[in-house]
Amino acid sequence: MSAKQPTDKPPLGMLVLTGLTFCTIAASAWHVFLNTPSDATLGIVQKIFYWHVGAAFGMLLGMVTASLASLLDLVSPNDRVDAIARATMEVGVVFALMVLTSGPIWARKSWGTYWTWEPRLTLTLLVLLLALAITAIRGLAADSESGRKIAAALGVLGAPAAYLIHVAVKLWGGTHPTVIDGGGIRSTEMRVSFWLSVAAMLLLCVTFIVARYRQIRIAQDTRELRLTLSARALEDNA
Amino acid sequence: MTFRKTLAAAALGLSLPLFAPHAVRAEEPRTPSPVASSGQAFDAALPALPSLKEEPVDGQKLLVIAYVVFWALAAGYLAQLALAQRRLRRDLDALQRRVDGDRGGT
Amino acid sequence: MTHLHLTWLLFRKDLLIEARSREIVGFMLLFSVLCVVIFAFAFLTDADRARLFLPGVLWVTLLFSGTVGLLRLFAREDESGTLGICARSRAGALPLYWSKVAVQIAFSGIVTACVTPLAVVFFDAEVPDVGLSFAALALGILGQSFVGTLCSALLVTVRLREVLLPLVLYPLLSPLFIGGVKMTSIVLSRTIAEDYTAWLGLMVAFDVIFMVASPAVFTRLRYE
Repeated sequence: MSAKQPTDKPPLGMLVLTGLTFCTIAASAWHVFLNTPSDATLGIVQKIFYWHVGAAFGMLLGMVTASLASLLDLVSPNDRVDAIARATMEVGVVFALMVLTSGPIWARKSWGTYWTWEPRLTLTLLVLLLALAITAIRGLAADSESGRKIAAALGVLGAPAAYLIHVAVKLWGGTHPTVIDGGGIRSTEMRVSFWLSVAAMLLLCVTFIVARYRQIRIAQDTRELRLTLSARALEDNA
Repeated sequence: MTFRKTLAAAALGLSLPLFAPHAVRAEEPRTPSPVASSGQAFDAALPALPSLKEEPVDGQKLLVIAYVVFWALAAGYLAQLALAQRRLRRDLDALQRRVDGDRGGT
Repeated sequence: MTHLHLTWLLFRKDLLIEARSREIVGFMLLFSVLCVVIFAFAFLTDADRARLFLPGVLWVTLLFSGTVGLLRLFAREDESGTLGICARSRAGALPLYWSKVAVQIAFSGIVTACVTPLAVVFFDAEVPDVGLSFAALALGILGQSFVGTLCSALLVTVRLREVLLPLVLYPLLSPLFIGGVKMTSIVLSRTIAEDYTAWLGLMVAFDVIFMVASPAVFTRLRYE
């Protein structure tokens, strides 16, 4: 038997990572709600900002890694790289959804409106739409070679497209209010909350990616094993 | 593993609302939010619409909604992972049976 | 046989088939006209503001009719199963790519040339600078052809490709679209006061980047 028998028992590292993520999230939640004063102008709703920005970092991590992995997969096809591309794209989509739902709700309070065609929001929306399309194609084409190639090709094209979209929407939405960066953070408690939340979100992102990556790899090994067995059965019967 | 993950997610989801009332007690008085400005020539060509969004919103309610949606999405993906894991488990068991069958047969 | 010669042969073949059957361009044209009419019903509630809508209407129509053309672009190769053979020929996949891009540009060009004057008339607009309008539309058609040909080829074997092509194409084309609409609206306004060079630059950059990236990706793929 060429392929080793796949198992779904998680390695120790995975359990440690999950535990660490859980602790960091709990710690950040505690700090955000119990140790940080509410923002003077925006009130309590500003607290969503901490996780919102953290999720944005997670989305960025997912999307950029997916694009790079897609490029690598196109240049030298490899099961592992394909699994990374797929896992990171999916997790990037999840985090993008989290950003695009928490953002408008916060914006309702701080800008008075759920949506403005602000450059960063528009860019995130378009990148999300593209990534969703790619994920949908992956789902439809199942695990076939063509599905993988399509996803890789589109993942690669998505990078220059994202840059161009960024330029375009920046030119287009120049008159609209822009997102306040973390630069407005004054107190140290807020800063601690901010970085703790970013760390929590990034850890959650990595945990999801690693879990999904393992799943995809196991599925790949299972498929390979099944093919080997079928081939052998055919040989024996012949 | 997946059962543990689901348990962790549920514990997280259920424990977080416990923090909310504590923080809400320290809330500042609500201030009316500025309406987003729009300077596009196209908007200027249209007659001014009566602004429907001037009334102040309940920050508390928004926070809870944002928070619930945010973590529901994370939990949703976790559930999807758990489902995929279960399917994998089933496939692995089928494969194991097949391997054992082959070994028994030869 | 050089690549250029092969590209020309493939291009000529597609044009000849189209000239005899007249299926694709005819339907693209009809569809575009219908689009413009529907948009007229949607937006012409106030005659004064009609011309404000023209750039958007024109570009959406261009996008939709281009998609119709793209869906049929590789249809013959797919039906006869020759896509893989063409791509794996000694000359490589590039002549195939460029011939299809040329076909798409030709078809979209014809349709746009017919529909634009119609839309201008329907929306009661004037065109102070024809050259710039032409440039904007040409850049749009080019960009759509470069990216669309690749996406169309990618999705040839996938189920539900009629639905997936727009899903994939429109986010990729959005910078071109935004730039095109802005530039067209600046050009169509009575005084070209606003600076259109940024938008022009954006569209040119888009076309150049994808003129290089799309064929590069196209040749890396394996077709069945």
